[in-house]
Amino acid sequence: MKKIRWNIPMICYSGFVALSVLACLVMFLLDTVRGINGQAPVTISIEDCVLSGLEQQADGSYLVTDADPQILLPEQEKPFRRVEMQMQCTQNPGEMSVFYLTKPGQDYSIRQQAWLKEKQPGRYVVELPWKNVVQLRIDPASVPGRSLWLEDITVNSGVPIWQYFVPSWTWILSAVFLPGLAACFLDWLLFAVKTMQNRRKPL
Amino acid sequence: MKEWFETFLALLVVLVGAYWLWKKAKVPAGAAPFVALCSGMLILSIAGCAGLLVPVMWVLYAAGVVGAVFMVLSVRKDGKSFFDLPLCTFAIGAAALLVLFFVRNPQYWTWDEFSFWGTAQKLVKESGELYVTAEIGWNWVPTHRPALIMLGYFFGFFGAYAEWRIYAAYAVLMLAVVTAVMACIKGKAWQIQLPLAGLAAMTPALFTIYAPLKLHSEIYCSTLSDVPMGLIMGTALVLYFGVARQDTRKMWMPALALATLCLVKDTGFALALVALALMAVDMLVQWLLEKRKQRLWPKLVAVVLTAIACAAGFVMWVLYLQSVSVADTSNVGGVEQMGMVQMVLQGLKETLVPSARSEKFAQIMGQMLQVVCFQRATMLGSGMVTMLFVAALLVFAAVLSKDRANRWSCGVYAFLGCAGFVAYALFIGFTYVYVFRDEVSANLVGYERYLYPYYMGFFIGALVLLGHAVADDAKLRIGRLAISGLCAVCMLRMAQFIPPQLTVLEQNPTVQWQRTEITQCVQWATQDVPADSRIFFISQGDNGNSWFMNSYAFYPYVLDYSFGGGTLGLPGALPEDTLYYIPLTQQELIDYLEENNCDYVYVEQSDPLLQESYGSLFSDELKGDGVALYRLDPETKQLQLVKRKGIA
Repeated sequence: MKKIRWNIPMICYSGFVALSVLACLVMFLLDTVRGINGQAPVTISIEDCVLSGLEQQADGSYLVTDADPQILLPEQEKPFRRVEMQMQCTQNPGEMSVFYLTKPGQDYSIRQQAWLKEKQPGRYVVELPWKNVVQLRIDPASVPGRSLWLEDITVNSGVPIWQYFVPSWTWILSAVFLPGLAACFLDWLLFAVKTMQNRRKPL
Repeated sequence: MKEWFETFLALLVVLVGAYWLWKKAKVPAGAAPFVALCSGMLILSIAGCAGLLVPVMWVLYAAGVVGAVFMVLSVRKDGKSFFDLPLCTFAIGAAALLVLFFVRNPQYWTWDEFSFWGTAQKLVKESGELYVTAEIGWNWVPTHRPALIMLGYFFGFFGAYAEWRIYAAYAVLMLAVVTAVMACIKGKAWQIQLPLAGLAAMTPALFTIYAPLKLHSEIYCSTLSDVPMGLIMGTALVLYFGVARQDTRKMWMPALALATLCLVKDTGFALALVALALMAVDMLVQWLLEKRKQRLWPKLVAVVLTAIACAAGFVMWVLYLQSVSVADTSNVGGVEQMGMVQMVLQGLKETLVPSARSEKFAQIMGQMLQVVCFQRATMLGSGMVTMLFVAALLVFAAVLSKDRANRWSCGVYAFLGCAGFVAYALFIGFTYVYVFRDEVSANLVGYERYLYPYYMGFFIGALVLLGHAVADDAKLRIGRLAISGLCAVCMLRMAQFIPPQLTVLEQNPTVQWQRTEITQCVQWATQDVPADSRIFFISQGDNGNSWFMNSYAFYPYVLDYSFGGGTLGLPGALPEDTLYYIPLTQQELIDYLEENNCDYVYVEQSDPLLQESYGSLFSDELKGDGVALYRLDPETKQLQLVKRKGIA
């Protein structure tokens, strides 16, 4: 078998991938140990949530009354990792998003935002980043006048192990640039050390 | 998935073209995809003007297939050095970009994409001809230049039209610019190529975003021409400083890029002239530095031929428009109806002779000076700060460089590049004085969009000179540390300003819900409607945005101009100066429908005003929710309900 010649870029890129894989494994193990990966899923009723911009109608649906309706979930004992929601709407509900907080008392911001993905018709799932998410707010629509049928919300229903290793596009972009840049710095550092050593060598 | 393979086929043809440019024309491998793309855009633009767009496209693809066969045979013999780091970066990166855009499936987003840049792509795809002659309900002739439209058409030629394929084509062009920078640096050390590639890749964001994003952004995902113009201008300079400066016979590469730039947008011509002037002065300086050892006339001929190529593209488009449309291309249009030369002369007169200045000129140019000097325009700061930053990089490169020719190039480029910016900014200022409407020019609306192509072009050109200087610095390699540090700082700045979830990388799947809804409604409405029907559009409260989006969605059905969208009502129903108010009597509405051969009326959004004003013309009196389609009965002059998209 042809021997692989290791060089600085190869070391940096391999190291980045190896560290990423290790990090994913650690995240999975910690989530499992802490019981937030399907060991104890929690079902939250809509009635237990704080609703804003949503008015319950006689037929059980919720009428969107402004452009920024919100469903604030009650705090849980364990961090939020995955949230599933059943929702029906006769028309397109508009833009949907999820805001989260990692500390109580923070303000919601665009930097702490995730997206609901429709896995099956009417079944929406959001996978949250691996952070200590203590509070979650779902913005289920953005168009006033639309009617939503909301069912119970399930928290931390479990993520298969392989999903921890699925790279995001941001990770892929980082994997292209960051190890390369690190290799450039490392290369210069080694060159600087070698140059200084050569200068110190007696003639 | 089929769409992805059809788009990938276009990428393979680009790679085959790049191979043969490298092998036969000695284009650096990493720069060859860019040269191939420019060649394709030029050839297809000329073919489009000649009415031979589809046949020439088939010829290009056929040539790609034949070229691929011979490439496979040739690569085994002596072609392995083609696959260097820049070329492999392009090949793998472009394939990955096709996957990204296929998965994300972004859709057109901004006004200008619907008012031209995106819609033109659909017009060409559906009709097989240039968009100028396509039948669409616009009240004007689309006269923008075709190069970028040809790029999108090339990548979307086979299979169904899809917006993601157009975005992918633009992204491939941007990647080709990055690898051209890598390929044109002296020495080819990866320690220099990688940070400069990073800086080149970040250029569109660094020079167009000046505040942290709060909403979904079209950065790296736009069909507008401003970013490609800047990148093409910069790559023309890269090809000059990296290849043609050493060998005048290679001047055809930057000339090709500049000729393409002239066919991207009308302001591309001004940018091309500035870039050519920078190259010409540099050639003269290099000739003097060589103590006139080489002959000057080949350089002069190269400059003149490049200027002719730029002018030829510009004139070709003007002649084509005159031959096929009623658009008046003899002037730049606008409020003063001046010719281009007249505008420049008048502007120079008012600039240089204070007593000749009008109040409007003084006010607008004063404002222009203010915003360029002090208003934040890029991640680096104001326009002036941005130019000074790039000039400082060039000064650093001049100090670092051991090569006298490179040092002089850095100095000349820094000084003349800034002078060129002043000239270009003046030109843009003139357009605000003599072309744009008062409500646009009073606030210099969109001025930054016209200037940032220059920042980008200037910066990209500077990267190669910086790379040459860093390659010279073999002793201490401070230059390598500096460019790596600069790249890292820019990355941090990008991370501060741009959350990935607001870009195409991780975009919200529901952020374009309105487009999805419009597309579904239009598909529903046009089922069973004859293909040659003309449809009048009503959406109360529209500012034109909905009209544009629907006009795009309906095509190839023709959506009538319908007064450009607005709020219809009887005269006197609203104050006369109400924005977008269209006062029409019932008879006037019916007369308009008949005169413009409108067979159907599509009501996207009704309101009580519409019901009160025109309800008696409609068979259901406009009662009911949801979008509705009505057919005009030519005998009764009544609008009969065909269908209503109710709520289940």
